[in-house]
Amino acid sequence: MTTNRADPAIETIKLSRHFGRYKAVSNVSLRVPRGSVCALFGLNGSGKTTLIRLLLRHLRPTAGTIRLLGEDLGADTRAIRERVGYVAESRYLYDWMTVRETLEFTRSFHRQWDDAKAQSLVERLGLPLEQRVARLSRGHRARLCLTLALAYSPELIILDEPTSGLDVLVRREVLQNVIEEISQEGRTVLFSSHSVDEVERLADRVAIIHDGCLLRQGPIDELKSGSQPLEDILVALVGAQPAELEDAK
Amino acid sequence: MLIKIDSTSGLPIYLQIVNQIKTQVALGRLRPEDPLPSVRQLAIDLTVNPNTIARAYLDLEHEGVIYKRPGQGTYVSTRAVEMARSERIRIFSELAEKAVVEGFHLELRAEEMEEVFRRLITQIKEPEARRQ
Repeated sequence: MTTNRADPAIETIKLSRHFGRYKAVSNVSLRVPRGSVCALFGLNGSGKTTLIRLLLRHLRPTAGTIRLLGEDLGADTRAIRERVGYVAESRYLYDWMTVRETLEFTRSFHRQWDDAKAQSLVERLGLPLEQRVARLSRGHRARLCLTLALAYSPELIILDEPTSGLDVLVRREVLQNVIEEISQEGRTVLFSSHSVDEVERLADRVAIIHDGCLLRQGPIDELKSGSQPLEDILVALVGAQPAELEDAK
Repeated sequence: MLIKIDSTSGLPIYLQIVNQIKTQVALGRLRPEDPLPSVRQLAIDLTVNPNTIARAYLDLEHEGVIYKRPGQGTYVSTRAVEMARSERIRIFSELAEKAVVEGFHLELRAEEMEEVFRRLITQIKEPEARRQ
């Protein structure tokens, strides 16, 4: 790798994405240092998913730049895709493939694909290899996406609401596998969530997004000074008047 | 090892872990030389960031409650039990505080409350003394 280890894992500069007159993401300068676990916290519709889709280049920005792992995210994303794994609703799976075919298909795009790791994830998560993607339950679909994201041991893992809509057991399983990844030195994780519990348990940093604007970012301990529950702090922040925040920009 | 994380509490998670491990030592549920789970294992069990567990273990190590055997793991130290006396007093104080606060709400005088404590102590101690 030619990039410097000191470069942040994620760095966006004045990133914006507008849909017509609607500013889904507005002037976001996000910085996620390597080796950290950063939660992207915000209410539904705050712009979390759009921001993540920009990071994954599933969407193009209206303005601003993105650097992932020290490399500019330009038109050619092949090199960077090797180093980034993701779980997102916008991940496209072919309904007509079986789980096994999906794994083999994705494998062909990743030189770093680790068969032993994929195998162990499949076993641990109990994935039905011969079932068609179209017929997978929501829980199995989430498990498959997780396997696809982790099997090539990416340096940066991006997860969009990894547990939303999952039952308690699958949720726990997904989080445990993410923790397993975090335990490996140098991994960076960005995950979006509107669950305070998840943020508090997993993250060492938090970025708070509201109405497309980044309100705060930094270590969770700095945000959480005193003995105020994190929930109160977050609610107080995103409960602020959107109009005021718009003016502040 | 049973630890419960309450994310609605204002207490940081690492402190919740520190306090609960101390409590278990004080109550004798964890004994000297008992092994603790690895950072990775406890992180997975509690679904908590491994850095948080590492920080709790580091605090406990600094306070002499646990120690590391290089290349083996983390164990409850022998000193932990002596120290646990102050921890036991802390736990008892918390319980007693609730009783005393209730007492004041019920408009009891300090002497009346002291009397109740003394009577309870003798009541509970006597059968024990007779057994010996």
